[in-house]
Amino acid sequence: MRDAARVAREGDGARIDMAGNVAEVLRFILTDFADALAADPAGPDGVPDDLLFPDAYPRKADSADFRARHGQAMRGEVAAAVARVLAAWPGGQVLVLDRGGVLDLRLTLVHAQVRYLRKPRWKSAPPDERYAKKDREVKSLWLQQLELMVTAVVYVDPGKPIIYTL
Amino acid sequence: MHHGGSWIVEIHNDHVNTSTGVSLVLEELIGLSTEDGRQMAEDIYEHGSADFTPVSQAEAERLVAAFQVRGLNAKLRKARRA
Repeated sequence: MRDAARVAREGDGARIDMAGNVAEVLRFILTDFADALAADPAGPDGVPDDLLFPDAYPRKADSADFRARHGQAMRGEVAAAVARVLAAWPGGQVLVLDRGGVLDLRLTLVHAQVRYLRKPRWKSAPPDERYAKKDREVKSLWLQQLELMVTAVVYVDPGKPIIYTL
Repeated sequence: MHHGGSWIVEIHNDHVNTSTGVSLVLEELIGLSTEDGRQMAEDIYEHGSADFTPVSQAEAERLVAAFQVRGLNAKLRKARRA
């Protein structure tokens, strides 16, 4: 197993078995994202609310008001989910998640793409996996694929196990 | 902030969330069955967006915030009067 992960259903959640390098990269991506969420959103290392969350209203002014009312609490919920994933996983090659853990990891994998996409994710075209070469393209594709595997495995019939391979 | 009236929550398709991920969020947040969640996720993928039944503005904002926290492209708009 080189650059690989296997995801299988376990209980009502998922079990991810990763190669050492995959575990290392995933841990880096999650830690980096947690740090970015904790940084000043207006600073160079932070993530502004308008890159994290799309406009809620058709009018920009209404969307800005929405962010003023809810943005901080929403950011706090995302940060809490990332923190729960990191707390449940010290960084070894096996990550076992219950249903709540799968939901937390899914949320994290979707939002963490903000670190690698040029545009907000709701405006981005997906990188072409045949030609993705740049580190940020490969990482965003990688996060999308892992998100697909982790969510799909929840719907797998436990009596007919399917293992998804990255 | 606008007050009163009915507001519609919309979920829009994007290139980041997968259908299974959207389906899982719909089950978690609004209690859709697996089958209904999959159907709605398919509708969003095929038609570009899906609307929910109109609710109060406060409830619509609460739902949009919850969907956006989970990474979905959710918005709200004022419902037109019949």
